[in-house]
Amino acid sequence: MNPILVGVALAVTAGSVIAISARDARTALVGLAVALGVAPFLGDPLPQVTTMAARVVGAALAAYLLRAAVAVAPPAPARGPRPPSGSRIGWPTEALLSAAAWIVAISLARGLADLGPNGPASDSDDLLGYLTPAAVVAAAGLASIIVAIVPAFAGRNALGTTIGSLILIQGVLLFRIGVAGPPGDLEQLGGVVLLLAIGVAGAWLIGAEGRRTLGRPEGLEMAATAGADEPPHAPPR
Amino acid sequence: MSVLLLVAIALPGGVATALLAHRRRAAFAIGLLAALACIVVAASIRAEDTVPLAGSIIGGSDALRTLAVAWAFSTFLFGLMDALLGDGQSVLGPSLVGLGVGALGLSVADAGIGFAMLTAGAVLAAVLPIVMVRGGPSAAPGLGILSLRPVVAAGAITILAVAWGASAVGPLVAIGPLGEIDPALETSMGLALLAVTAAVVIRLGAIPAHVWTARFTEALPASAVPPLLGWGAAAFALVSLGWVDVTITSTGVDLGPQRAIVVVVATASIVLGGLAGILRDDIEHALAYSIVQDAGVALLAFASPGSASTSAGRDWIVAAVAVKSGLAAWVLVTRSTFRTHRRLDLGGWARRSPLLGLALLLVLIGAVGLPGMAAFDARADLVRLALPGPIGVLVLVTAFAPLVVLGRLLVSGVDAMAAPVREATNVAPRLRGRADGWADDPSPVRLVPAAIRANGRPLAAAAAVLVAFVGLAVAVSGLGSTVVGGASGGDQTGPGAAGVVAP
Repeated sequence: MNPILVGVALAVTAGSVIAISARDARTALVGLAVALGVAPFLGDPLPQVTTMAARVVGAALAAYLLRAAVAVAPPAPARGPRPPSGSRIGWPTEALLSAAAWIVAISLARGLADLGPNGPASDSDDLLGYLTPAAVVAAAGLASIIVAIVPAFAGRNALGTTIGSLILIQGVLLFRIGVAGPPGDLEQLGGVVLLLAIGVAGAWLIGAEGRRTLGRPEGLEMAATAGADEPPHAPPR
Repeated sequence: MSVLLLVAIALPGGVATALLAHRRRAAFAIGLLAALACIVVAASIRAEDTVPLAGSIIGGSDALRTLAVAWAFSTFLFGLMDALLGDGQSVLGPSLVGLGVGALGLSVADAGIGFAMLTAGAVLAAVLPIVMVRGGPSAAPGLGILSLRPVVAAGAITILAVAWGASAVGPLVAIGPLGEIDPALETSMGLALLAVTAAVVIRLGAIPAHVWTARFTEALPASAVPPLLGWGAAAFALVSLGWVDVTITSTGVDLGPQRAIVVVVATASIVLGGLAGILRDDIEHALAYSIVQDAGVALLAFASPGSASTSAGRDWIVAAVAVKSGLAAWVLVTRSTFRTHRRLDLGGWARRSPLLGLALLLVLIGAVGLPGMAAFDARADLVRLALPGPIGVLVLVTAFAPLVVLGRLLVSGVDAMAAPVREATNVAPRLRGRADGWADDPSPVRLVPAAIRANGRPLAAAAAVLVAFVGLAVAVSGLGSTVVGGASGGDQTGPGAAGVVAP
């Protein structure tokens, strides 16, 4: 067992749970930044420094795009229905789901290791021996997938759907590393491009949602620049 | 090297175009120049062009050249039509990005890279054009979320399938030295086939995942359709087909029940898509349901094992997309010219605009096909291989629904003129006159732009003819049945990693 790797995997899972379950947008974005920013360090062996740097920068940029979009988005109207955000079942339940996903993924990784070219693991009674690098990476990935499926495909607003999609894809990429080994550098860069694209699309959607809240008829602009033409006495957030 | 050059032009060009979308002229100028350069570079792709990049090999091929040239040409012409019609500056940017990542995804042998890249391009193509949604800003976020979900779902499913394929229990590793296959592996291969096919169903918008396709097509200008539901979806299907061919079909496992499920879904898309296209009255739904029907035929390539089916599937996917790009171009220009989208309100449209009539005629020939055309033969082969016997004949007949859908549109074009068609302005070319003051100043510097402004719609119709012609050309030639993917260039997924039109 590599304790640092386990800690990193737990940080990814905790970030995912916070991102999915937080009701406050800024808290959710902090969780997202942690989940996306720490995930590149989850692997054994670690990728090349340049590839890892690209993944970290890509993750940070994706999270920053969402933060910028949320920052300039107008607040929800004081009256009228406000779409609820965050998980409907609460963070304790999401955390328990993640724990269940960890158990399943570690068992799965153990089974895969037994079928691998090195044959069955030698010490099957050592519980800590189950926490191989592949197992913890797969566990962090599966936990992310499990908690992100509902917000990604049944999210009630643009921010929730985007965060769910980012966590889901991050989980899929981690699970792929856990069960099939580390991918090549170009495939990792492909993952960065995908996360960035979802970040851009999410920022765009959040901007569009903000414009809908304002009810401006003249059209939409890119979210990152959407606040440029706001009057200086815009309603305080 | 040529593929990398194409990517190096398309990606920055697309990003710059998207960022400058609020400055129409600058966006179109940069985007159209980039698209033009992409056509030139795509035409220079050669099979011997291989470049190692970040642990993988980027390689060209004759098939990739055909696909990339048609894709880039379509991107350029749709950008040109949008510029002439004064709309759609939010489409060209994501289209170019989609072209760049699509070419990169198709040129590597590892399907994992292809799926990630193509999903990234599709995400942008699905969401960025929502600023042009009909119905105002209130409809934009909902449409964006509705379009984002299937794209993300399809990408996630396929990346997981690739992970399974390369894992210790996947066929690339788990098949014994003598080729013996464990029953559990056979079961998991069947599930993987269904999973990837489900992803293709979702991504292409086949029945039962067709709702988002119809919503997207009816809510946005038709120029937004080919980047997402046309070329991008075709590339996704090609990568999927290559992965299934190498990872599953090459093992020789029967998978009869699973392939039967695929046949049922494909048949439903062909039959119901054709019927829906006939029953609907507006031209956007004619486009949407013809795409659904084409997706059904493409799914048949996943239903029957063997190289004949794979080759026919490749030919059909590319030809269908190229032809339906022509239909999208016709829909775009027709709706913009006559300000209506109902067939009953379009009586006499071809008499007012013969160029549009020619465009739809070319689309009709490409969609229905003639014996000897690659698309026609590919469709017949796919149906015959997956559905032998009389049922196959019935399904094949249903697959000719475009003859009815497009044929009656053509007939209405020479019918009595409806009021919207009669009242439409700037339909015919203006070679003389004082439109927008273009005859006031004889200087070419002012004359040419003024003439282009005055003739925007006829020029857009001419561009639509070109798109339809390219579609017909691809339908005639296809990708070439000798194209064989699956050359392994990836070092991380083992021998037989999936490729599509890789070297």
